[in-house]
Amino acid sequence: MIDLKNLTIESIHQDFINKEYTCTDLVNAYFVKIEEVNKDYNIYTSLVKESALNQAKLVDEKILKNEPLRKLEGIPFSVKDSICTLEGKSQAGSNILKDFESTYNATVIGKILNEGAILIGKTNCDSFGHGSSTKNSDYGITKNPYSLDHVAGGSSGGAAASVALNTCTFAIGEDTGGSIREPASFCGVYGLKPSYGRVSRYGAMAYGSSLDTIGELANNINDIEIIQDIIEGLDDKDTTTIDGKTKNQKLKTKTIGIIKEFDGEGLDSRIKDLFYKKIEEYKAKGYSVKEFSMPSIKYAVAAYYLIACSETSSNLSRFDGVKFGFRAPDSTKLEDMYLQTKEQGFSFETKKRIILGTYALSAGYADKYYKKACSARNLIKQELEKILEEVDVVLAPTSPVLPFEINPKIEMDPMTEYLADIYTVVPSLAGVCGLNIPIGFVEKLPVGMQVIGGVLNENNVIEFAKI
Amino acid sequence: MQIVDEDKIRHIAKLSKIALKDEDVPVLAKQIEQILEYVEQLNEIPDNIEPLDNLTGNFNRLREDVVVDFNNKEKIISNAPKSKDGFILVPKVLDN
Repeated sequence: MIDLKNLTIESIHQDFINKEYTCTDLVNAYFVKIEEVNKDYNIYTSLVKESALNQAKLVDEKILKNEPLRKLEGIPFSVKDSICTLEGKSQAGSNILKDFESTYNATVIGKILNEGAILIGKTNCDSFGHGSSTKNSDYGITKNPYSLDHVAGGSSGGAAASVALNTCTFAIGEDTGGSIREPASFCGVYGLKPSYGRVSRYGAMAYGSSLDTIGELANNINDIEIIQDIIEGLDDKDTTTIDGKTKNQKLKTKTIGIIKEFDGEGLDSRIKDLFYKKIEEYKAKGYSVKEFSMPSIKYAVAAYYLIACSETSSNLSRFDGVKFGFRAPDSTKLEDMYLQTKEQGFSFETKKRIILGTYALSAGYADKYYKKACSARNLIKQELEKILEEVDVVLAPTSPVLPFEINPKIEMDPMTEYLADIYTVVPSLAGVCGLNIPIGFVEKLPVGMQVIGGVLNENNVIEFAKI
Repeated sequence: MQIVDEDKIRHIAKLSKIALKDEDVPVLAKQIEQILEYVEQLNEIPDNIEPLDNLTGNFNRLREDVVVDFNNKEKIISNAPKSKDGFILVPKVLDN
């Protein structure tokens, strides 16, 4: 029996070399674990067992011949359903892509596979990333690894749970306004949202193109560092990608920034206590803490939802039933086919966001809504970047609330759920990087803290997380 | 003051090419109204703040125009809900 709990990329490679177990043993062990937990927790939307085992066999042959191992050779990983992979299905958590199989791998997937990693399955998410609980997935809710009565978070809820429940070594997720960081926080794992443009999105199903980022989730910070190093960089197929010139900039000020406005009335006092306890730990290690004010934060959630929904209304227009995915049956006319395909194929939340976005962009309203949101974004970016110039990192709770309870009797107010994104949408709007690190538990539910760094300063937040 | 009513929601849904179910219209009207009321606060932002819509400053990064062959054409066609002889089929576009 392999103890799946404390595996890291490095420890697995050591075990391979020491013949503690084979790669086939490892892949089989993960699939046994998936079998054991998937029914209750609803993590995976499709599995690729056969090709995973075939690949594992090749790795085992390599090990027998003492050939050198690539950086991720034989390391099993999961991928969020909204990122295209040749193996398995790519359904984006939506019925409109039920059983869809991609004809190519996303750039990040290609990079990871080139280092020898083994894809084992696709993970559940809110349809097209539209949500923070996986309640908006057409494939059911992913349950919290620490409590079946609570959500895993979202939209990359399956990704976070896949790592937390030790069904794979690392997970690839996607984060538009918190979709890696919030589920990582709810599930007690590490999750990095890189700076905007740091990692190619080619092959990811776009939600809000000016915000979307691809990143990774894992049980330890060293694995995050290894994967981030592999997936980042320029890509001709995503013209927003930027070159990493400022990489390896070292932490130098020994100062941590915290933001006054984040300590608002919506913050659960138990999360607040854990957060400030953590701050005290850094003080004890010689860090000074500086408090800043960021007045533009009050606009963040409004700006985020207007921008993201405007962009999603444009991005999702491609799902029209013509070339791929679901087509409403029995349409005799083209226009009718469009109308019925979208009505039947999209989740309620997705339709709501498309309609909100279409409204915000429509003639006569674009100046009032979309443009104002972009102005708010400018203020947020300027204020946050100015703060980040003075400190090593900014720290904040990742979510003001604990994982939401799954209770069909209590209908959660949609606006309340949006407002809970406040700490994660700020770095998203500014295009900077943010890393969730687990800092403890309230009752039995995990709590996370966000380490925020400047554009291209992933290295800083990772180094900081190791302290 | 009400910002959107049910007629407005139906109109926007039509622009978005979504045939909403009747029972969803009042729910959407209520929820979108709630969001629009919340975002009203953005009007406080002075007009002289430039809207930011390009984060990286990248603009029209060009590449060589080289044809790259794609070797999975059959799968693209087979992904279509309906196809025949390598063509994608759709319902009638025009009447008569």
